[in-house]
Amino acid sequence: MTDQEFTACVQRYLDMVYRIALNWFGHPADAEDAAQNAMLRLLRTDTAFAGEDHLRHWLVRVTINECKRLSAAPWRRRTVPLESCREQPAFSSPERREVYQAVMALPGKYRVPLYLYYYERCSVREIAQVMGLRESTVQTRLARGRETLKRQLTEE
Amino acid sequence: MENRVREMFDEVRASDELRMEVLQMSNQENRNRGRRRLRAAGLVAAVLAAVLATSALAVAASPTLRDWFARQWGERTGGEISEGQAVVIESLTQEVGQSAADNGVTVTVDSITVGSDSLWALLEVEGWEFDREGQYTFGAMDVGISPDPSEGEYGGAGYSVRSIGLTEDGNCRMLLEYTSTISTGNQLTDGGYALEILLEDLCRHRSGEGEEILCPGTWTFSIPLTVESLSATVTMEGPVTVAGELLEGDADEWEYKEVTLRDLTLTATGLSFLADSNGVGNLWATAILSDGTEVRSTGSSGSLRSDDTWYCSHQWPVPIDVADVAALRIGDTEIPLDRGA
Repeated sequence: MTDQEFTACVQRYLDMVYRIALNWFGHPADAEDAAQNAMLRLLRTDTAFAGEDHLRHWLVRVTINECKRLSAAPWRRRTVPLESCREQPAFSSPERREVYQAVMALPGKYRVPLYLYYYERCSVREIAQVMGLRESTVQTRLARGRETLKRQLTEE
Repeated sequence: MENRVREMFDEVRASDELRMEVLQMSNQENRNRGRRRLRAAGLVAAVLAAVLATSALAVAASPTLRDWFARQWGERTGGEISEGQAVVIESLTQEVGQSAADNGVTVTVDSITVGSDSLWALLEVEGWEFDREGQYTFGAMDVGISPDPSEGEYGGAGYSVRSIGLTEDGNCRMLLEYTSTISTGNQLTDGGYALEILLEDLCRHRSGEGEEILCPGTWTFSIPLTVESLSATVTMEGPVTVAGELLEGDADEWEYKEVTLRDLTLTATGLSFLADSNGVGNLWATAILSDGTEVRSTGSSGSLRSDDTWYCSHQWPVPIDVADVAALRIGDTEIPLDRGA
């Protein structure tokens, strides 16, 4: 991949990669590490992508794999001053912040399928493939996640 | 509801700093980045956890390592370094005074405080007009210990360099913090080791924009570590059971699980132990002093050994007086100290 191609991919997909990782971990610090690792794999890959959909599918799968690897890998942690970290995105309205908090309060296993389904418009089959789950499992998690989120947002 | 979720995620974006770092990866893939680079036989994931609501990084004019430790201790505990602790810090600190110059800028390693698997080095940089409000670092760096105290076993290290203030002459003082995972039981204070430092490109860090190169250059150092720790080491054979968290198999949720620890070793600069699983990866360690003061670790690492146990180590923010430690806490599990070991 040329530098120009990579730069174009960063502009198009970094937010998607970051959001997937954020839904996995639930906080920005780990999400940034996973996102950077995923983009580094894109930079280094020899895969000849058949098209934009192929690249996007590949990147979603790699991001989830990086999240799993980071969760289970040998670890090193350091504390940093709070001002150098963002705990929560800045939203244009309190309502959107409430939706974010409600989503982040969901169990992790619901967050990633919900994000991929509602925001990235992935099919159940595609979500099952990238997450290594059965389609029925994805459907169950989507249903339960939707139900929990709806209840949470209705109660607020 | 789906529209509300989509509109919310429209506003969730990668930070400018992450974007900048990713864009720079194609140019800097083979360069060392102090803040994120880890040198290890295998892959070690670096995770940053924001905990402190501290004030700015700068300390008093012409800050020394002792000034830095005193400030850190005060911010974390609200107290002052004890006499016993000051003696420990003094015994772990060696004066260096080694300089390297390139492109009109001279970097001097002033002094180093050396712990069991971590160290702090005070650098002074002169030859540039520094701004008192600026934050400075180096664009690339490589820091290591020779010979390798891990002796070929799984190891790893993390390091960072940041400015902590200016001297009265306008020189910049920087702090290099280095931590390593040494599963062999060797300690940096054993003698026979040298600190190897490579620094490239003096930079100013600008929030949201990454680093701006002020002065291209290369500065290298090889510094024998001569500190011999006079501080006590407390060991506990165990086993000790703590409540941990684990991500098992294909699960994508943390589950609570008991983890068994053994061979706990407490030193002035950290705590290490062997665990039967990686379930302590999300837990911090705390040293509880005799007067109730609590000191929580600010760095930790874990590595899988060939016998399938996990070697875990935690670092204290400031060297402590081991003789003053009454108990340890790992996560929520408190462990009274067995000083008979």
